[in-house]
Amino acid sequence: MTLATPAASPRTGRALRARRRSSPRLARLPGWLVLVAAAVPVLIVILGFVLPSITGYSPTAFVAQPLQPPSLAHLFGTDQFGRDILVRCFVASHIDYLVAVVGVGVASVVGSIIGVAVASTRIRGVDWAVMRIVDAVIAFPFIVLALAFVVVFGQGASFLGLPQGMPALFAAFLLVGWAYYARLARSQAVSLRSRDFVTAAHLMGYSNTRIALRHVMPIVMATTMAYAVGDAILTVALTASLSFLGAGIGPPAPEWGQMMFDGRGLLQIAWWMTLFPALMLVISGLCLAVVADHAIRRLEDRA
Amino acid sequence: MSPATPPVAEIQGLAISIAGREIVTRVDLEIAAGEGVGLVGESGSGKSVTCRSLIGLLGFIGATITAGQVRIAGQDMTSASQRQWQPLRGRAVSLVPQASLAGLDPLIRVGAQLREVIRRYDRGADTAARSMELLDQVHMPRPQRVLRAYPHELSGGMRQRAMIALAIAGRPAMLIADEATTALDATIQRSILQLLDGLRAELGMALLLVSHDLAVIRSATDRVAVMYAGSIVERAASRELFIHPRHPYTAALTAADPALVPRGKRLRSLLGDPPQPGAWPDGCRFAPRCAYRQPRCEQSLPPLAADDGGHAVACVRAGEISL
Repeated sequence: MTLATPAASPRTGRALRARRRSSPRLARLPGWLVLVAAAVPVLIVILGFVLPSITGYSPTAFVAQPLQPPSLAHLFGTDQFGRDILVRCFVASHIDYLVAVVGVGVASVVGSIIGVAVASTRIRGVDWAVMRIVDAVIAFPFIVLALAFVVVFGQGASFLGLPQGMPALFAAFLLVGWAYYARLARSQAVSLRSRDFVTAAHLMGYSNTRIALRHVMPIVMATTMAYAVGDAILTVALTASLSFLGAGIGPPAPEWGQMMFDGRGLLQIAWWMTLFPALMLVISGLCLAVVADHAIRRLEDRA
Repeated sequence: MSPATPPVAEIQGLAISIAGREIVTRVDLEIAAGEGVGLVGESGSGKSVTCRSLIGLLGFIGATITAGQVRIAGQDMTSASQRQWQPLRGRAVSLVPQASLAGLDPLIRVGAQLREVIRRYDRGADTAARSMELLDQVHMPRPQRVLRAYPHELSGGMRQRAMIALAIAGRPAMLIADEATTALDATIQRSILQLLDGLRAELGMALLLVSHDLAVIRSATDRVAVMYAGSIVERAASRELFIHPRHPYTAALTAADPALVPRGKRLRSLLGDPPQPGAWPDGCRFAPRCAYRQPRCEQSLPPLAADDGGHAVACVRAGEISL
């Protein structure tokens, strides 16, 4: 038998899909922008390591007169204790990013596993019960619940050399964050359950666990991870907000929210105390948003 | 059909219900080894459900067999458990579902999915050679590249070829193609159907072809069963059925197909809608739309009666009307 019409090559297939997608309002982000967006946070972290030695200023030491405006000696000025804001801004990235990565990372993985597990289990009632707990957790505003956990765990609590308040933050993000991921993962897993390839795996006699791990989990994780990158932005902002409310990372460790909190009463005479940490937060957020957007688009190409 | 070997699949008086509503009634169908059988009918006529009963998939859609028998390779599978179906699936009977992305795991390369299935049927198989052999059998262009590709990198036609390769990996005695081409472009549809027909001859397997394309059904099958509203209304040799339909519904189908109506003649469309599944009229289910309707048509569901030539029709007026 000969084929009247050779099937399209993978290349044309991809080209066709690309053309179809060009209609949405938002054009695809250019590659260089994604690259820059991924590089900037890395650069910020590196600068956070090297700046104290380059400038000779420790982030916690009183190195100059308080409240000096930006100058060549102190590019971002100094705060109310005479600490260098440039150094503090970049060193603070370590704490803020760590909270984002660990807080979101653990919550997303734990949440995804729980979501897929309850969607896959045959045990009656588990799915229902866990999802009602999820509803209950999500019903509270995230920040109020996180605040409550921080208060319960004690802001002063510290271990493994982490700054004061950080363990409580991690616990708060995990205890609240998992619920969002569990709901997302469950809905994904349930919709996958009726796909032909999952049915086929069932027909081949594979166990529920194997199907959940090999076929469902990777797809669910791809979605939750893309969501997590976007969520990391919020977490950085939230860490800053909690510090601003006095419940985040305790002084003297540099943290953007804490720095903005310190500057708020002095806004009229020392605007630089608030502006620069805020800028760092905005830049980090924008970069993560670009990366997250790219990740989600990549994902949609496959689905 | 030699009496020595049992038919690869046999359905007798089958009735299937979903949630208490009977959606398939009194279906008889027999598929002999190597035979091509077509199943035609509108959406909702029970074709897919009938197909699913042949591979033990009814439980997945919440359907149950309420009457009749399903036999696969002579074995009664009417009330078989999933475990009992296990050894038959892929070997005695295999299924190509509707073309879609959902058939392949999007995050696993096509080659890996193929190898997994090959190993399932033969633990010691040379998976690389067998993969290439299967892709060659389904006329896959650029097989080496396809093996390394993810499903989303393939065109719809190539994905369906990959699905067919997976379905025939266990050298099944019967392949069910349940609207296997419905979601594809018209030109690709034709080549996939030709491929299925070619495979039937090449591999000596039976083919149950469910399709809307009457012209293809006619050329690719030996016998055809026409379903309407959950039961078979006519069953005959393919050559015979489309030229001399005896049921008014079959006649209406052929009169509406451009490929079967002589050039220059008008196409006639069938007015009205089929009844809702489960809410069947008492008598002949086609009666409300039938131009040859008489009061006695509405009394009871006419049985499928075969003549000496094996041409079966479920119409009380079959002998008296000329179509």
